[in-house]
Amino acid sequence: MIYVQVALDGLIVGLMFALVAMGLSLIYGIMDVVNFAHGEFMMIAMYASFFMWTYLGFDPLLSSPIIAVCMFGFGVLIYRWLGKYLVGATLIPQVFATFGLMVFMQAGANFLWKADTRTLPENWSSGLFQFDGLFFNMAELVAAGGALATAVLMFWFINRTETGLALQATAEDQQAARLLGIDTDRMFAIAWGLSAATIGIGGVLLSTYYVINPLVGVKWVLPAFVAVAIGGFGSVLGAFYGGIIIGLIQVGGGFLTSANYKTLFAYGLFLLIVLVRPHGLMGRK
Amino acid sequence: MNPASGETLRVEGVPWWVVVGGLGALIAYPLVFTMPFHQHIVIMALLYGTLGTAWNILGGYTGQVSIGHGVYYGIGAYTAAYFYVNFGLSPWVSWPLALMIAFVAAFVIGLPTFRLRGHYFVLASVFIAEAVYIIISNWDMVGGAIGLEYPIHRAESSLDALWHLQFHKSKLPYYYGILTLFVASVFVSWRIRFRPLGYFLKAVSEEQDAARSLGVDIARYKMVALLISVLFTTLCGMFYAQYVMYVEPVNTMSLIVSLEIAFIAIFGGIKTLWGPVLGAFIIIPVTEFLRANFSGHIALDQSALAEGGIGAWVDYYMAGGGGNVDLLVYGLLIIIIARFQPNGVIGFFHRFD
Amino acid sequence: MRYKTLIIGLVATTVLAMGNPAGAEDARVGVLMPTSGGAAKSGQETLEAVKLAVDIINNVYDIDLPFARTKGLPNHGGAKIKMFTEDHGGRPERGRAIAERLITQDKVHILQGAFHSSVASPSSQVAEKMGIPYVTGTSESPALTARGFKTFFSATPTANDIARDFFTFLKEVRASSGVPAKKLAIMHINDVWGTGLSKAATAIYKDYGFTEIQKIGYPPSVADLKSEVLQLKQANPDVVLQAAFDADAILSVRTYQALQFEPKAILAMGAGFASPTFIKALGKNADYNYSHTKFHDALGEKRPAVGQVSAEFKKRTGKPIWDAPARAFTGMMVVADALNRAKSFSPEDILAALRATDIKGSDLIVPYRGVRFNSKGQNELANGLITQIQGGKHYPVWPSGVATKKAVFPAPPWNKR
Repeated sequence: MIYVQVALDGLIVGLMFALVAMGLSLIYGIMDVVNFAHGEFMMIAMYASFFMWTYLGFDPLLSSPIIAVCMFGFGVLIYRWLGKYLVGATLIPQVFATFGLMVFMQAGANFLWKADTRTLPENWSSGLFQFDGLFFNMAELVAAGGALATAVLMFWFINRTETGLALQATAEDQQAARLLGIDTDRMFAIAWGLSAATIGIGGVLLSTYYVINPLVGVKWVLPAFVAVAIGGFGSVLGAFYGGIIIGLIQVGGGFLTSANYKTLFAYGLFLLIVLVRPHGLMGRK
Repeated sequence: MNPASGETLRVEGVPWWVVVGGLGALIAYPLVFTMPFHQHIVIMALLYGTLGTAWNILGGYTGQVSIGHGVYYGIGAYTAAYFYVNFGLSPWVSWPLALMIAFVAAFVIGLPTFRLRGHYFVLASVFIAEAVYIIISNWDMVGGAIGLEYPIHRAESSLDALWHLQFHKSKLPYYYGILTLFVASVFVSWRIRFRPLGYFLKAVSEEQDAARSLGVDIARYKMVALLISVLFTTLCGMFYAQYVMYVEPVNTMSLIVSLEIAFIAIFGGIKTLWGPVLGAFIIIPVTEFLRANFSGHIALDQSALAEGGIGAWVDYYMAGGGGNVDLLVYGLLIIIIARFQPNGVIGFFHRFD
Repeated sequence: MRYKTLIIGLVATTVLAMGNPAGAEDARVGVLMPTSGGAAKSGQETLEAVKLAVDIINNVYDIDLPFARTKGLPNHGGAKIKMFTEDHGGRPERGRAIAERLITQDKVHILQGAFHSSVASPSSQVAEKMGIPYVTGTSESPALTARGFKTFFSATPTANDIARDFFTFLKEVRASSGVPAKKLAIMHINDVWGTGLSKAATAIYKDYGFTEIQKIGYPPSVADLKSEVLQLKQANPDVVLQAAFDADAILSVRTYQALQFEPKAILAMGAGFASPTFIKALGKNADYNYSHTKFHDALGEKRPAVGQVSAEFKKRTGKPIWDAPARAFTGMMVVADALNRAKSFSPEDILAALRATDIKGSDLIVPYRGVRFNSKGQNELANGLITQIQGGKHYPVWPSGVATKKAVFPAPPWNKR
């Protein structure tokens, strides 16, 4: 029975990783840039959720659409300020620039809000959920559900709306997209905005049961990188599956052997996969 | 570079007399600046200059960006520490073993990962380094998370101190030791850059498919670059262990260390000889300065606002530690350089075609 | 840009990195703390406490502590303590460099630090090399004093003491409640500090009637603790010893609750469990957890200084004082006491004064019986107390001399809370 628990817990964690990974994959897919500061967007969204609760009394459910919109705008801003210059850049300046952004954002968070760990008090989604000998934190279930919903929303957007298709076109072939009259600059901005918005939602969902401090983004983003790499850069669906896989491996692997090694399994799987399929499971060339 | 024609001999654009003068200044520096802290800054700059230069051979010249060099650094540090602490064997004896282990690791890591392109290689290097870090953190034989601490050895004579590579009366031996390593690495880097090997590496870096079609053995060249890079990195690790006398996973092979090594080179300018050197000699003194003057400053009467008030400085990553000011500045610096001078600081001195 | 500009710039930067001089008669104390990095929050508050101590010593305060009602060090004509501090961010090589700089440039007479034992180690090595005294109020690794340094003094109990206190308490509470407890688990963050507890407990658990031990460590950077807690659940220990910082402490208890993991007792080595954030975040789920701590307001009943310092700390920081800051505060008081008794501020005189330290327990804000160093520099009168959270507050439950409430053992199951 405990194995079912392990598997389900892995799934729950995996859905959160999946949400984080999808945003990463989006930016990469469209402009070949890996945003190392991705986790920091999540961190900011978590703080936003915290402050909205503390000062405005907004429940996370209420504040999530507001924060999603704000994060979208923030993502666009970052694109205009920095991301724009990374289009077509080689690997190193990208890594360099987004890493600098990460350092800056973490430092900024520390500066403004100190290193203290904060939490949201209990809200409507707190409490336990029991089912047939299985135990779950209700807030986590809600968050996992929310992550899934957001993922579905994102897929719908990318595949069924005009803007989404334009995004895909730009990802496929920038030149051709431009020839078709697509404003690639706008597409890039939208990608960054979407990426920030989705991980922002993830942050708000997390804030209902997780801890908030300046270092929280890094914890979630590193496994997400593995997820994207496994799923294959450029494939949002791949990132989604990758996230789930990583969640399962981490919880399962850590449980079966030693918790100390749980991240090892994710890394090991990554290495295994890329050695056989150098572009991940579903990645683009 | 033909002196006969009256043109000044230049080492990658730098006139020979500047190079010689710089070396002379480095040699004379600790004799003029005798405060241990001032010597320490340059020792660290030399250490990272060596690490950056070594990294650059693989990352810059060959285009294989590794954010996992901490593995080799750590191998050097841990081998030196382990054999000294447990068997009293000085690094003079253990260095071949350290290099052997490092080379084996390089093979094991390099061979499978070299066929990965772009971001995949970077991430693979990160994950492998993290994996090694986790394994070492849990390996009791080398102290696990606690690491290994050197016993203080009070040397009876200079020769004894030299054997144990522990110098307590003065930093000079450390300084000249790392200076030698530094010069050697720069020299090797120079010889590679402007010689056939360098051109092959460049070909591998930029036009891999074309090179392969011309019959260039890609894998072999990448491995050569890796091994040279690893050689110096491992030796630096051994130096570090002897200098700090305390090795533990975080300060020798964590992701932070790997990032620092890569960044010194990237910041200064990869693909060039002097870039990493420049990077080290800018970043290290600047971050030391910022931290020495801006850390520990917490207002005693901090605003009583429970949350959200502007408060203490904190840093997480990098050599910063001056708290936030340091990291804010550092992050900003990186972003600015990356945006305006993506070729690194050396771009201010060089024009890149 | 020309080369000259660059060179001048580099030289200027290096020159500017030099330290700053201060008054000649002042006592100069170097303090190493992490105000950045993973332990930043604790480090910041700990540094605040040290600064508070310096302020109390240097100025006049209406507090029942030595040096409070006088200005500066009385035996030295009111000489003030001038504090020099730099952040080491938890990195040993920085600690080493900082110690060197503090000694050679800022010319400190004595060092205090460093919170992280991994930083205390090399920085005190430097001090030992140069013959400068080093006092730690916060670094708990037993290895530090085991080195037998001539210049190193530890005022705080070590991980060995903490483990011993835990087991003594467990033995007592097992006997008094009649509830058996044989299986032990140690859940710890896998760093120097957490592993210290694990080692200490592994060495002695058998002597206290425990038959099985399960050690679960997790890396500091981990995002979730599910597999750890699931393993714990499967192992089903009676008692869990835990070493965690703020974030993982909160996360672990939340996961315990979510997975309904309910051992008879969870005893934590201070830090995350003792910090006020813990109760704030968990509400009533924080109840029944034990912390080994060296500070509690209840001590204020017998020692008024406890309450006075606590109020002063709250005034400055808006937060209540707790374990680590209180111990750092004590460290600085020990430093001041030695400086005061020393014939001069020369290293030898300060060392002699330190060796002769004999501070009464009533002059401290921590529950130590006093401060007296043995031949290895360890305070043999250091001890802590164990508190249990009941109804959202910490109450001392051990040792009996300080206990204000009885321990609730075993902890009631989750669904009965």
